[in-house]
Amino acid sequence: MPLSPLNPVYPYPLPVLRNPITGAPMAPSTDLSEIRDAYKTLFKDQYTPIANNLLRELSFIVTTTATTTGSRTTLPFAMDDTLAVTMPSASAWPTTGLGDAVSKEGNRAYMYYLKDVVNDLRFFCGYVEAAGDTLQELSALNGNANDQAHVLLDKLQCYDQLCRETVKEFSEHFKYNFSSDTWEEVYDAINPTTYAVNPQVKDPTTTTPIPYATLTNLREMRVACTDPTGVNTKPINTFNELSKLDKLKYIKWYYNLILKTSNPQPQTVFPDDLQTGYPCLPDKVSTSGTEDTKALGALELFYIGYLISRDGPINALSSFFEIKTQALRQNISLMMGNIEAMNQFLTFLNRGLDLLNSSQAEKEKAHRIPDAAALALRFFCEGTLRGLKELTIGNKKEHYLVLSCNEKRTDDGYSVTKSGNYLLVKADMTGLDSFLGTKILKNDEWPVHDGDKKDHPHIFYDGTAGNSGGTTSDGFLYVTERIIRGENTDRLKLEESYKLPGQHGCDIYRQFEYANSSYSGDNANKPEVLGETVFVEGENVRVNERVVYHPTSTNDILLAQFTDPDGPDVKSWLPKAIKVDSVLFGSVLHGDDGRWFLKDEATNTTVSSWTTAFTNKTQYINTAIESINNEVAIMRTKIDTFDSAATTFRNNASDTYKNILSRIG
Amino acid sequence: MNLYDEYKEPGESAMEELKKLDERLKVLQKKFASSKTDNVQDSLFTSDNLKSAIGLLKTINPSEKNMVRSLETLVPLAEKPNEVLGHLNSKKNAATHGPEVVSTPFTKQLKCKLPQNRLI
Repeated sequence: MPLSPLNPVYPYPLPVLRNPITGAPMAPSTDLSEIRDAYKTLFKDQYTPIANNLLRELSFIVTTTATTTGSRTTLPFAMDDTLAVTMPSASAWPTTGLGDAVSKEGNRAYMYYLKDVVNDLRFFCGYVEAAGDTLQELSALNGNANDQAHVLLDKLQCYDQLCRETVKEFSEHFKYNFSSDTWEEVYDAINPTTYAVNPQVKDPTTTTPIPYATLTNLREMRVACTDPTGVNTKPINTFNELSKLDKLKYIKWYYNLILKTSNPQPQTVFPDDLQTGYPCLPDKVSTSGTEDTKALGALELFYIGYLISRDGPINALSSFFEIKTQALRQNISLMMGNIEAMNQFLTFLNRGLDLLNSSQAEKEKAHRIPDAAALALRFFCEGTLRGLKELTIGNKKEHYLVLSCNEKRTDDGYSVTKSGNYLLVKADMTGLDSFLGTKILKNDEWPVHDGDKKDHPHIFYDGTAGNSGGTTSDGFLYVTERIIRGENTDRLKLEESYKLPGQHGCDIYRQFEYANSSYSGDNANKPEVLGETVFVEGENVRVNERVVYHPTSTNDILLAQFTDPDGPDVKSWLPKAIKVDSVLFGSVLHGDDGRWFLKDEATNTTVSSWTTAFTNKTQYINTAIESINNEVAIMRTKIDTFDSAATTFRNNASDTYKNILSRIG
Repeated sequence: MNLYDEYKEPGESAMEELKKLDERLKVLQKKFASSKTDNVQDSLFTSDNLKSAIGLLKTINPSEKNMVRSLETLVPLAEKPNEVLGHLNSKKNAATHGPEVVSTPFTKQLKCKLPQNRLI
């Protein structure tokens, strides 16, 4: 049934039929069929493809990773000829950030723009969907239904306006006009048949040549500007020169380049901690992987853009200085943490040395070097020293030393296979007591290797006898490995092993392995456990930040495990290494065959060599603390400068405020 | 000289100095944060003030080219009426950044007891 004409008192302008932004409204009409068809064309042929293009681009941005090219094929939104609209399902909308491998602040900036884009697109799709429903209602009107028609047309006008505003936001950005020497808000033309917004951050997978193959290129990207001779390009000055989708894409591309497997780039943040650092270009970039980035450099363009977008241009300067002070405070917190960590290292070293000395107290007896001293020598003299790791166990925050092997040994040419396992020892006296013990046993107190005294950290026992119900898992952490005299391998290992199925925990054990095949059999590969923790799977066992712990246990010694030893999640989880010189195990005298644990091999000369090692390492740590003192002096100067800036800034504000008040008064 | 005294001093000294610096920064941070939320801020968004801020920034932190450029883009905007600025002038989302920094994960008395008297 043809629709009756509308009351001519209320003629309706026909919707825009060309570009929703630049097109001019057509003449008013009272022909309801004409108006309906015009709206149908508008929503079907313009807004729907624009929505699809925007969704497709969003899908492409979020699915592109450092190693894949992503896809633009996802088209979750469609309006067919009957105007039935299919909205993207709830799960189709991206909600996650860039992952643990990206700094928390970088993720925050990305999520800010992502949420903005998703929110706008959800509303946009909702408007188009509602318009489809309204058009169907309009088609279903019978005979004279002027009043209803007016209501529905008002709705369509409203949806048109809302869609237009949304599309406008997606095309909005700033452009510099050299003629007028001003920045202008500009809106790109929207082409519904190709791509929704002219991309400034271009797709490197389809554009030749690839425009932003490196971070340097991305940072120096050029955008369109207007000068007296016509449209040209210039290096980007402000993040607001990019459209909404391009801002999101810029951040994604930035981290794609950083995380790219084939050519990863340093992710520079200050302070040098992905949890607390701000994306920046430090004056001095740490490339060693062990040394902290000490200088507070310039914040990255996209991060400043994020601050301005979030807080408004009015607050740009305040936000900027607030971030700077926050970054310096975070850095101070890290430095204090490092000092505290080094204090813990000193405490553990001292305990090792203390026990070594105690073992030599009775000279008339045969003596051996205690295992605790060996552990201290391995982990604290030779191993990589890191900052403390904070874990929330239950509702309580605990701090742990993170112990691991050197990733590669060069003194004996033996490469170490990393397992992704890290030993965590509580950074307090209970952790110290559990890890190194409080006393040594005399020779006649040493237990038989029957496993009866396995709970004493200084007692080793044969883990194969009666105590091994499970199978040896994969993933050794070779704390140290040495080929001794070219025949045998003496190892200290961290391993989740000798546990019954369903049990978790870790053993620290020594393994003496005969390289000579003639020494096979029971004596080969025989592990001797120095300490262990065991947790049984069940509701009382919790997994937190990759660490299995027991809520009612002291959790003095824990094991953190990573599937991929070189994965980005390991890097983001690990506290930064503290630069302290090492005392290599190989430089310390041992018994005749390099072992420390046989009771007749600890000569005075050997013990003296160990003592020197502990003393030297203590001095190295002290040197590192002195180095921090130097950094403090540099930081004090920076803070003096900031203090001055703050005063100037506040004085300016105060003066301005007074001027305004005087005018009002 | 006792090794304990020798080794504890640098650490304690650094900790004390860091605590003092952190206190100063805490005050500074509050100043900047309050600048975003007090009633002065609207009047601050003038081209003269921005030019002054740019000059200040160039002096104290010349490496901050991105921030200087971003501020420079705001100068002509500051001369426009608010209705032209539209949502870019919105301050409703202004947020004080970050949680309170905990300066010391856990505080302990520095100690370094190297048992010198029992050195072999």
